[in-house]
Amino acid sequence: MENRDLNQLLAGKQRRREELTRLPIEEKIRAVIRLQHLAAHILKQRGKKVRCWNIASSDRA
Amino acid sequence: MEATLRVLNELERDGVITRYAIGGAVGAIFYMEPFLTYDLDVFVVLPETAGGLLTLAPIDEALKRRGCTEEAECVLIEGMPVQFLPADNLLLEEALAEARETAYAETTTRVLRPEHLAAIMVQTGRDKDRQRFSTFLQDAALDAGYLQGVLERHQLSDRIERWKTVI
Repeated sequence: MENRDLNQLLAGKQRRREELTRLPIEEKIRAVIRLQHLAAHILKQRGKKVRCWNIASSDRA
Repeated sequence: MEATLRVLNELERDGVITRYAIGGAVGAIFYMEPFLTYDLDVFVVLPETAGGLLTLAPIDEALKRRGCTEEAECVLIEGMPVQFLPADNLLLEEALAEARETAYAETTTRVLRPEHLAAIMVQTGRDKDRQRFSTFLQDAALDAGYLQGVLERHQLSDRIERWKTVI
């Protein structure tokens, strides 16, 4: 991979993080809940007890 | 989360807690990209009892009356595990005193300033704090002068210099 491609990739990644940072907090919390569901299965298989947030419909995706 | 915040506001209004503010991972998410977490850390100033003791018992009792249940070190409030952390050192006291009011949907809440969140990561000093600190510095809009003041007041400047050598 050329340096130019790598720099474009890294710049794109940084732009995405900046976009996510600027999201309204309510949208960020919806993203956290999606992450919780994605990770819960793996964590439970490792023996870790986790509870995904079961909160009001306004907080859900 | 809004229903959880309403309960916290009621605890404060009823005098069960003197003041609260969101910290920890959710506090950080207010200022940076979202990441995985499973609980809500809430820093609290507790009213002093007659004997001068500070205890979380009144919070537990008030929440039990509302039907909330304990789960490990958290209390489940409106579907969200909440961990109450007393502001038991000068940094946390200052962080709570200077926390910012903000809105979550239709509900007002309070969140620690990003500079205090960063300083608490440095003070706590676990591996995950160091990793989060690095990203937090890049993402969050921090007031560098304010952060420097917080770090100096709480003797954390040396530690952050040591961190910089391994970040």
